[in-house]
Amino acid sequence: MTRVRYVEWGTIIGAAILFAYIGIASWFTVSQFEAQAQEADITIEVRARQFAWEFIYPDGTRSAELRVKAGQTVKLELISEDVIHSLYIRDFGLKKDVVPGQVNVLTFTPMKPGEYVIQCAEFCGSGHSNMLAKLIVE
Amino acid sequence: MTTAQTHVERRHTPWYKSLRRILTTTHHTEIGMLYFAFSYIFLIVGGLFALWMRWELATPEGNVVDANFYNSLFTVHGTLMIFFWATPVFFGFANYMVPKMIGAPDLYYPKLNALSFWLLPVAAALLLIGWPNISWTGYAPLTVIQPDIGVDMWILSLHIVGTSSIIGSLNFIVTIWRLRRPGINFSNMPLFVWSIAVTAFIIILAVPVLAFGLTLLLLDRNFGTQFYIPEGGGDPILWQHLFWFFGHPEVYILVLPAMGIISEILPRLVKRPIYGYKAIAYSTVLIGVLGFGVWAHHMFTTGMSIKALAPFMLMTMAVAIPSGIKVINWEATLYGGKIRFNTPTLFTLSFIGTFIVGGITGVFHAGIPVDFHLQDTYFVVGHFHLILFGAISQAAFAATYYYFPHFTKRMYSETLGKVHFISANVGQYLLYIPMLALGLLGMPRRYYEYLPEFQGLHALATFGAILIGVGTIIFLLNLLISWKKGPAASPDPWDAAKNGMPDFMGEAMNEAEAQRHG
Ligand SMILES: [Cu+2]
Ligand SMILES: [Cu+2]
Repeated sequence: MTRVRYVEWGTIIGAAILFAYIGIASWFTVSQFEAQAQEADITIEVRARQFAWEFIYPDGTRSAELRVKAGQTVKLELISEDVIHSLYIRDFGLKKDVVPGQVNVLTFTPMKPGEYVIQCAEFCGSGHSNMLAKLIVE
Repeated sequence: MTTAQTHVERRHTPWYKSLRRILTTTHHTEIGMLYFAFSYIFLIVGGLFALWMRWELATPEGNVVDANFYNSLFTVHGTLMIFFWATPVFFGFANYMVPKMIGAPDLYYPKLNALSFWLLPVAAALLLIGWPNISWTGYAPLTVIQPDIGVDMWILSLHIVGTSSIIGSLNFIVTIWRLRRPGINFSNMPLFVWSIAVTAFIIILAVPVLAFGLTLLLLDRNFGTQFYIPEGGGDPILWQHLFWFFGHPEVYILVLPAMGIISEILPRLVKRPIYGYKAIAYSTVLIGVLGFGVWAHHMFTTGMSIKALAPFMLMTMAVAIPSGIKVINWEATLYGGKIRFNTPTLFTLSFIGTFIVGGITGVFHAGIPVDFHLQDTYFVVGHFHLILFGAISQAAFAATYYYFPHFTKRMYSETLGKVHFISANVGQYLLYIPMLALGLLGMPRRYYEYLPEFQGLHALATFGAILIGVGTIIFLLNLLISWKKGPAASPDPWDAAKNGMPDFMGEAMNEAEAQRHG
């Protein structure tokens, strides 16, 4: 084999090993997300419409901001009233589309109290960039 | 000898000076030139829209245009750069070069070839007049409820441009199969011809799926069907499957011809035969096939289960491997070659370099949890612009410089070429690296206004965009002025034939044969 062939096969095998690792790690990470949804401490309904977010708590109160407690596993049920939106909490690296006709679920356990931004990440019309909400972790 | 004589006759009244000739020509080199003129005009138009957006984004608050206009700018910019710049510019090269490379007198169906070109201006006009504001991906049900007639015109525009590329692809497939001169076969056919053949098959398999999705959308909008509306039993996600089943292979429709043309000019520029001909040819086919199995990587956040998404993750990573094989073979060709630092070589090198950077930033998205963060942020925008501008467009620039002396019989200015090279490459990293950083920081794409904390990076990106714009103007002025006033070029401008690799293999074989027969 020539030197180039060694480089070529080295790259192919190296990439394959790296990709296999990423694949397995991704599988376990996402499976963990999906399992988390079963044992949530609180379920909050999220209604998305052009161009605002509304959060409905188990006791029926409605709010334009999302208030949760640190250490609590929160399950968001995402409902769209018009077009596709996407709920994006950048500080947690989490995003889930809000699709009309289906209820998507986003689960997370905030640890650090503070104020975070919720942004709409799926283009939804003229007010897309103003479709922001506050996430307050107490 | 006859070809030389017709050339002399043509020199007296160039064909492009007669409107009748422009409208009625069916000759492949002339249609090729029309494709170039068309695509470079739309590169400028799309580039101006991009600069307009960057100007708006220089400050966090919206103050240059209003939100709807901004949304139209990115919709039209995206649609236009893909369908009216990057696709047709390589159709231009294919028109000019494929017959010469396989030794054919013209394409198999010259009149259909003219038709596929003339459909393009119609489609472009519909897009620009329609001025839709739904983003180039046109996600339902936003596109269904948007009352603007511009969306219907966008649909029709894509229908027409799709028809044009299907006709063109059939023409190229038949040409490559039927008009190869004896002695040119699948084990020595130029790699650019390989890439055009594979691209043509991708177009024929992918574009009808887009057309189907668009037709359903047209019906939903105008005839009360509810294919994409859940109330009527439809599903908005259906659009995404249909769109991305086309949309991802579209990436390869753009990048394969770019890779093909680089595989042609790189060995001739460094005076060394291409390393790994078979590996490059077969990896083209492999990319074409695997490219059809990755579409749902655009849909990792739509709520599909990990079990449905995992195969797409694996396929997305797998398709990176044949691309890597190509890169290694280009590098092996460079190794031991005589690198001349002229403009086409510089752009060829920057194509390879940017393709690596752009490709690696793409593989990140394959990891599903990583994509949860990056999806629909500026990271994605930075990634695919590195591929579309940094790699694909720079391959088109490299090839334009390389073949310019063939097209015009004149030489361009090397100095201006290098200025263009520097501004394009410094500009692109100033533009796209901040975009990647913005995405990692959590800046979503398609935002008309943004949080003030992102302003520094946005301003840097705007500066980079202006640099690219200036470089592109210099590039086009260089070509236009050299076309009229440049010094005469030799028929073998890069010593390709002298080094045993004539630029157009079929044509060279035809000429050698004609000489033998006296
Ligand atoms: Cu939204
Ligand atoms: Cu893709």
